[in-house]
Amino acid sequence: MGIMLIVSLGLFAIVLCIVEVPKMLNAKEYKEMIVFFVILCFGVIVAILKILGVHLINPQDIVTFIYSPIIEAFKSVLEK
Amino acid sequence: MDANKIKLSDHQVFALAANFTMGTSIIAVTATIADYAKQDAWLVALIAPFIGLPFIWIYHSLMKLHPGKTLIEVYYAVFGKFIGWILAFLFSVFVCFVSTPSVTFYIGNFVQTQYMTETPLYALFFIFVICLMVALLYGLEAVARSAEISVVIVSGLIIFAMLMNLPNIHPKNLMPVLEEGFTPIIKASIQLASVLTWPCILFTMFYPINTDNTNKTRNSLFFGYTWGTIINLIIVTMSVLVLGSTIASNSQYSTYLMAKEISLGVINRVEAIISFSWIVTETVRNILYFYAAAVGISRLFGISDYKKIILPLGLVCLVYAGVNYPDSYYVGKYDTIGWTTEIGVYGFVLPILMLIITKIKIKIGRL
Repeated sequence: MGIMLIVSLGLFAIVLCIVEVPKMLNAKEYKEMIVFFVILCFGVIVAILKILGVHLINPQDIVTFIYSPIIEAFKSVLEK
Repeated sequence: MDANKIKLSDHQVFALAANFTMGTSIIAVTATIADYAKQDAWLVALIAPFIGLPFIWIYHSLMKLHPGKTLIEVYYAVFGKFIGWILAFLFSVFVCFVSTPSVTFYIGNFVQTQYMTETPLYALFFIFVICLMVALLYGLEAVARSAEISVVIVSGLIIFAMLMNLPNIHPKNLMPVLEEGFTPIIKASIQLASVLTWPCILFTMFYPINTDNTNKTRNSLFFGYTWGTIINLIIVTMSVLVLGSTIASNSQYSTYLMAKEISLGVINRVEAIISFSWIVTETVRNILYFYAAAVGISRLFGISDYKKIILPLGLVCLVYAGVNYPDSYYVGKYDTIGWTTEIGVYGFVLPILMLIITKIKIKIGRL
């Protein structure tokens, strides 16, 4: 099951590149291409990690960490 | 720029605002405010428009002072390049983009627990994320046009379902009024504003730039928001009237539970109406979050067309739909504390601050 998922993920990434990259190359949109590849690589890596059952960092924990001073200050208002 | 050529009509702005406001409120929000305010939940829903409209007016007047800009460029203009970039990054990634998988999780979890109990969650997420990506590849105008249709159908169906539920109400469920004073009502109003009002800040990603910038458009935004809050008021009041505040606060999907009470001899299983309306409006809400995230991220890195990064973003969104909420305890904890704080900063503190700074900058002639 895991192997199949990773193969189909790779196929998705390859097809996406084949469809999108020539368009961007023709239009000389290199900045777009860098952002596209960074997001795609990030997506493929987290997807493979998720398929392999690795515990990913929860972005909402990051949010809670960023705003933790404000959360501490207003805890009495927010909690029931 | 490609994305700027889209022009939404006033009625489309109304439809998007109404859909966005109805989105979470149909099923998910009743439990939270009934948990805080008990039998006074209807009072909270009643004052929601009066709390919300000043904020929408603030967003409108802020964007009116910065014509032709999205919120991202307003951050740059007000706070300078460096701090503005950080704020814009936190907004588009941690407010808009992190919400997209969360809302996807809400829909998938609901469908799994109520209808398809044996289907794995990721199969459901997959369908909804594909729906998101297709919608945004068609563009905002297609979404707005479909919202114009769905706002009529959904409002009609909900009002129909609530009328069918009238025989089941127990007026004594509303008593006693204001048992514990005003404190629970204020706390519940903050929770309701964090779902209904403050997320409307992401309208500023398309509101003046892709619409007419007239008072008529502003009024249709106001009217759309008010329409959503009226539907919310009807739903919350009926939930408390039919189920009582204890059951309404303890069950995750109390509106759905309430619709199960309806039985009119021939007409049965009316709760499917409620779940249909909720899935439609929540999907529109999710699309708007995803649109704001895609436009925000593309503006951050200077990309003119957001459609180029939709497909990779969709992949990331699909993965994180299963990561954002590990269990239902986390859902309640994050939504009432973490999310409320975050959207409070971005929907309440920063717009007021930016409005004041902009007024001062205009006065001393630096803008």
